[in-house]
Amino acid sequence: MNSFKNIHPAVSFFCFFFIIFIIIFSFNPIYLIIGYLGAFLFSLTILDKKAVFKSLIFQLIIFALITVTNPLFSHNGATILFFINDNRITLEALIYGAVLGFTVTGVIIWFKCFNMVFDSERLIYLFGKIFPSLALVISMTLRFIPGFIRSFRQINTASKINGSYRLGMKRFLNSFSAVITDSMESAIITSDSMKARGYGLKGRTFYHRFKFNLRDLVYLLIFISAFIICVLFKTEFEFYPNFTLNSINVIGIISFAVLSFLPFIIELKEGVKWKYSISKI
Amino acid sequence: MKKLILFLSLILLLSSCSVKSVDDYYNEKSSGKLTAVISVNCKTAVKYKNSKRKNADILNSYKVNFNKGDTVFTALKNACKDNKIQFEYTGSGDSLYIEGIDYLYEFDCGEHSGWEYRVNGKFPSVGCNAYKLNNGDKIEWLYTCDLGADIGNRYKGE
Repeated sequence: MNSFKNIHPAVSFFCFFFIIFIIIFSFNPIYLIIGYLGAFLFSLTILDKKAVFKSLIFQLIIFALITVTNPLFSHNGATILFFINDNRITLEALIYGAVLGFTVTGVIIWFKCFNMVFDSERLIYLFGKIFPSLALVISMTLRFIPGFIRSFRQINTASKINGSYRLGMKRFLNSFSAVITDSMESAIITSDSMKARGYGLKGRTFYHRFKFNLRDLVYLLIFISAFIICVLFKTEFEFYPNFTLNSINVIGIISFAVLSFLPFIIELKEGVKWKYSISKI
Repeated sequence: MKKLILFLSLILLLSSCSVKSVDDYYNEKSSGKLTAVISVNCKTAVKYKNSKRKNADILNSYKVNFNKGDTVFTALKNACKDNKIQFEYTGSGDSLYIEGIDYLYEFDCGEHSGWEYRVNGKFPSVGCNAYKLNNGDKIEWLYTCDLGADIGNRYKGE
C-alpha cells in the first residue's frame, strides 16, 4: 500500500519540487506551518512511526538551535527582551530565527518523504536519458550513506569478534578506513559493470513500468495550477523593526494547503479503500 | 574530565556576558568629562523611492559625554543609549562597522547604501572605532544611497 508511489515519477517529482521550492523561498510562517503539517502527516503514513518521531527530536534540536542563535547575532527589532553586552536581544529576531528554523526542518522532513517515494529506479527513469552520469551519481549517493552505515556495523562487529583488543577510537578508525577502502572498491566495480552493460550509450532503452495516464495528468494540472496561484497571490510579512502582516491572501494559502496536503490525502484515500475492500472479503 | 572542561568553559562564557533588563540598561546615563556634538541624519533615505521613512533627523546636535581616548563609535553608542535609539554593529577593534542605526540598515536603499560619518566637516578614511575624538568635536553620521556621492564624499576607488 503505497499509492503516492503509483503516481508517475514526473508528476510526484514536480509535486516535491514545487513544495520544497516554496518552503525555501517564501519565508512565510503560514506557508511553513502548513507545509510542515502536510509533510508530517504524509510521513506518518509512508514511514514507520518510530522513525518519524526519532527524526522529530532531531528536528526539534535543530529548530531550537537556530531560533536561539539568530537573536544573538542580529540585533534589529523594536521589542527588546533584554540586553547582553550592550546588544539588544529582540522578539523580532527570535521570530525571524524561528521562521528560519522552520524552513530548515520543513526542508528536512520533505526530503525525507522524497527519499521514501523516490527510489533509484525512479531517479534513473526520470533523469537517465537527459543526464545519464548525473542520475547515476545521485542514485549512488542516495544509496551510499545507508550502505556505508551497514557495512561499518558489519566490519566493526567482525573486528570485535576477531578479538581486536584495540579500544574505542582506535578500533573505530581501523574499521572506518576499512569501510572507506571497501566502498571505493565497490564504486569501481559498479562503474565497471555499468560500463560493460552499456549504460549511457546512445539508443539504449530502459525497462520501466511507469505509465502516464489520465489520473497523472489531472494531478499534474492540480500541482502546477496550485503552484502558480501560490506564486501570484502572495502573503507578505515584514519582520523588522516590527513583525507585521503586510498583505494576506487566502487564495494563495488555500492553494498551498492543497499542494502540501494532497500527497497525504492521496495516501489516506488509498488506505481507506484498502481497508474497505478487506472488510468486504 | 571532558565534561568538566566543557562545564568550565561554559561558565567562563556566561560570566563574560552581562545581562541587563531594558530599564536597567537605559537608566544608566553615560558619563565622561569631555563632550562632543553628535547628529545622525538620513535625509537621503527619506528621498529614496518607495521609502517609508519620514523623519530625517534621528539625532539633532545632541551633546554626548565621553572619556579621553574614546572613539567615534563610543560617542555613537553613548548617544544611542541616552536617546534609546537602536543600532547594530559588527566586528571589533579598528575594523568595527556600523550596520544600521534606528532600524535603517546598509543596503536598505539600494546596494550602494550605508552609514558614513564625518568629524568637523571631514570624512576620515578610517573605521569609526579607530578615530580618537577630541573635546568639542562635531560628529555627523550620514546615510548615503550612492557610496557617499550624495553626501559629498564620492568614492574614488582604489
